[in-house]
Amino acid sequence: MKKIAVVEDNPDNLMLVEALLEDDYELQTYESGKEALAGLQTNKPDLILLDISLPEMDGTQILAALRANPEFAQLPIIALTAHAMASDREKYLGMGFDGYVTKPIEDESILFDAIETLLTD
Amino acid sequence: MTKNTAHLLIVDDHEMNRQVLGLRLEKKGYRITEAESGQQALNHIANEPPELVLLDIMMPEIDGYEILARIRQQYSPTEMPVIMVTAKDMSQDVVRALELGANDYVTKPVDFAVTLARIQSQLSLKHSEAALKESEERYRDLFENAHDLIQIVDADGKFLFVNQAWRETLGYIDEDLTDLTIWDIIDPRSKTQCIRAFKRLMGGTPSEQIETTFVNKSGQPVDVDGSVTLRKSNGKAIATRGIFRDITLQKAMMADLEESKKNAEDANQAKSQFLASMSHELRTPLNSVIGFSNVLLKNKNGHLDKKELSQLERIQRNGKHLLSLINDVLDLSKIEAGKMELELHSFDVKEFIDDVVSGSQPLIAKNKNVLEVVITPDLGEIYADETRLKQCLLNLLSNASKFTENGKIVLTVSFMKNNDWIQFEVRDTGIGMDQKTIDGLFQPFTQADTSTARKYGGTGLGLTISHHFCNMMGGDISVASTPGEGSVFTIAIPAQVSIDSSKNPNAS
Repeated sequence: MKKIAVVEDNPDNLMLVEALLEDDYELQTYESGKEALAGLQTNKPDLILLDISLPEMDGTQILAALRANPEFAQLPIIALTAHAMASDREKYLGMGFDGYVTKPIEDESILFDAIETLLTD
Repeated sequence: MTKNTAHLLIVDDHEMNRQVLGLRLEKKGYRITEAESGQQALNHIANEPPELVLLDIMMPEIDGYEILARIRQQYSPTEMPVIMVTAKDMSQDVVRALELGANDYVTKPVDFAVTLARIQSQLSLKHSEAALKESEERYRDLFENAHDLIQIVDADGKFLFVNQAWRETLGYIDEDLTDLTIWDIIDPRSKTQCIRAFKRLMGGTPSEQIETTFVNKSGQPVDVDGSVTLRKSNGKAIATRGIFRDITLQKAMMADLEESKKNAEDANQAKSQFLASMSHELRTPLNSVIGFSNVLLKNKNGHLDKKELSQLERIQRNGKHLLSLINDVLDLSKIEAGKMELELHSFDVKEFIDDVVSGSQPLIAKNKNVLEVVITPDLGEIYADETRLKQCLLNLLSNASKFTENGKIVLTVSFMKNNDWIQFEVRDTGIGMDQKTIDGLFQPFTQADTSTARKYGGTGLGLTISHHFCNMMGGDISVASTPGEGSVFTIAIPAQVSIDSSKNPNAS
């Protein structure tokens, strides 16, 4: 089973992602950037689902910290976010995210497709 | 010059003398008046002042000196030149006459050529002095009445001359000027700047453009813009001449304008920020509403009965409807805030239409409609906002299938006007609309009536947004319909949308 790390501070959203993915993936969850950066070192996942609006360190800062580390430079990271204004997709992909999925997740297949595309690459 | 027609007065008690001189001068073109006595001369001068007087000294009753003195009481030597006619070798007479204000003299017996030369010389002096005076008055008038501030300042910084506008703007009166120096009217913060300009003038620049600040008598700053020139003599400064324009109001207006612009930009920025936050905050709770209803609808454990599943399905459907509303309202807010920018690129029309058709299939199938696509092969590429155009077409196809059951929907794509424009026509065989409905169609929230909205769903914003998008691309959307027979919606946009047609290039 592939390992996916989820970084999400909102417990409702976290529970939803778990409900959607727990049957198919091994999940590890983090509620803050600091927690994630510490945990990811010892338990490297195959892919990360990263929220953007997080307290203290936001998703783009976590991305930058991860990309600076050679070990995570190539790791697939998907932005899972409620930032969904017209140009946001281009903005986040431009920053170095490999995928972009908006909240609310209207259809779980959108999330699965985004994950599977990156995992099979 | 009216030299030769000048009016001369000859005063002499000897008729012979008068006539000899008078006749010869008349031949030269002068107009001559003769007076045989002092009294007569004074009368002539009072009645018709001549331009020059030839005055004999020795006369009974009122002599030449007396007449000369009377003339000088009223007229300056340049206003009315007097040439004395004296006896030969009487140098005392000459001295006295000159002291009394005579301009020149001739001695008896009169040499006509000399006399004529002296007359001409005096008249020419008189005319050039008059011209000089007039020119000086003209300049003084120009300076005094100029709207610009004009000042002449000597080497000690004292004011030699200031004009009316200067006095009015800076609030000083003539009496103040005695003790005033240039440093009293220069704002202390501008002092260094002015000294530098002065040094450059001393160094040889012909004039200095300077924008600086003066202070008026009550201590208020006056912003000025002008130029200063320097008069030097033997390398030493004699005076500076400055002409300045009061730009205080102009500067204040510019500052106001800058501030309003900044405020407007800040407000615009705040509005964009608000829309982005709003979008984020509304979407977050919907993630749970839609997401968990999706999870529960799978009924993994088989615990939910049919009725419960149907209720869940309503939560999910309404959650999605709320999401569409949020998306549409945000789209519209962005459009109305001028924050929506087009993303223009070239794309293949055929591929684009295939994409639109596959995207609309579920909608078409829902009411058992069929979709027919009429498209010329080899349409090539167009340059437009693909995403926005797709949103418009999906909206039209969605509307068509929503209001048509068991019918046919035809999408026709064609070029018009020498291939400069592309047209997308969506024709349905649905319920159609009356004129009143058509009239309000592109306004927000105007689905035919509330029962239509309940029956057919939709946010009521789709056509408003599509209309805006088409306009932004320099095109338009139009409609024709007959109740009970169906509707035709047509989108026409330039095949090459230009940046000019997209307003507001700064997106959030």
